Amino acid sequence: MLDLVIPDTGPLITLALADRLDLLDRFRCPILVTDMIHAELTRGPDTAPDKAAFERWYAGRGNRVQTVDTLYGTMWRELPEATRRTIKRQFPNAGEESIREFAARVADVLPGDDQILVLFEEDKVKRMTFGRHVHLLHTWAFLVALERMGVIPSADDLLKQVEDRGRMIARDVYERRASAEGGGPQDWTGDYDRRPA
Amino acid sequence: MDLVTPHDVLSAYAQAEISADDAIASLGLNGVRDLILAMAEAGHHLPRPAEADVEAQLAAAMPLLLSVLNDGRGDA
Repeated sequence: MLDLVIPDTGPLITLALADRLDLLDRFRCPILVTDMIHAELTRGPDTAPDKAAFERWYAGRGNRVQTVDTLYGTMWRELPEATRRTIKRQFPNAGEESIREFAARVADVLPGDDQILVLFEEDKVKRMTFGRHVHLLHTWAFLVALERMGVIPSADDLLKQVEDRGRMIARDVYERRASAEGGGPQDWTGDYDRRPA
Repeated sequence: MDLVTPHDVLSAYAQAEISADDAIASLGLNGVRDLILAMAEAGHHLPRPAEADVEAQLAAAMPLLLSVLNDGRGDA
């Protein structure tokens, strides 16, 4: 049996930005994600198109998507957003530990003779051990595979679509900030002194 | 490697010279979503693995994916 394991947010954000999470549905296999990914993808403004796409896809997949709870994820969900940001600044590689824990859980919960395909974007994933029959597949390689199987016409076009979508969202974000709420004057000086989010 | 400006950091990430975590930390961003937006806004392409790596990954993954591909004849 084949299990698709997604340990970092990159692949899902990439596919969600193109609104093509349905491409994962083309394969008859369970999908395992970590609770940290779920938390990361469902936070942020409701207007984020990748968030809406992810929530729609996740709800529609029923029990085909399994969320693996981790100690890291459980604690993370209890922290206020400000504390999370502080921790991220102080320990930029904290995510690596959560993936390591996820990898160990995956190796425990899946049958030893299952084939595991790890869809990833983060290099640190290469250093993890998910089990015996593990094959790594970067999102870009996954898109190329889809092209060669005739599922999508062009991997290159799909990635360009993601980049174009990102450009459009970034512009939307700047435009929203530029239009003052309630019609009042916008104070731009706050942006100079504010610490990065 | 001296990464002074946001352009330096984003360029290094685009060339896969630094990880997403490093880029996010260097720029004070709030996750992968923001990094993709920053890359797009600055006109950078998203990083891709080397051709040889892609082919090696595909050699192992293609047979597995084909074995579970829903071609419309089975139930998805």
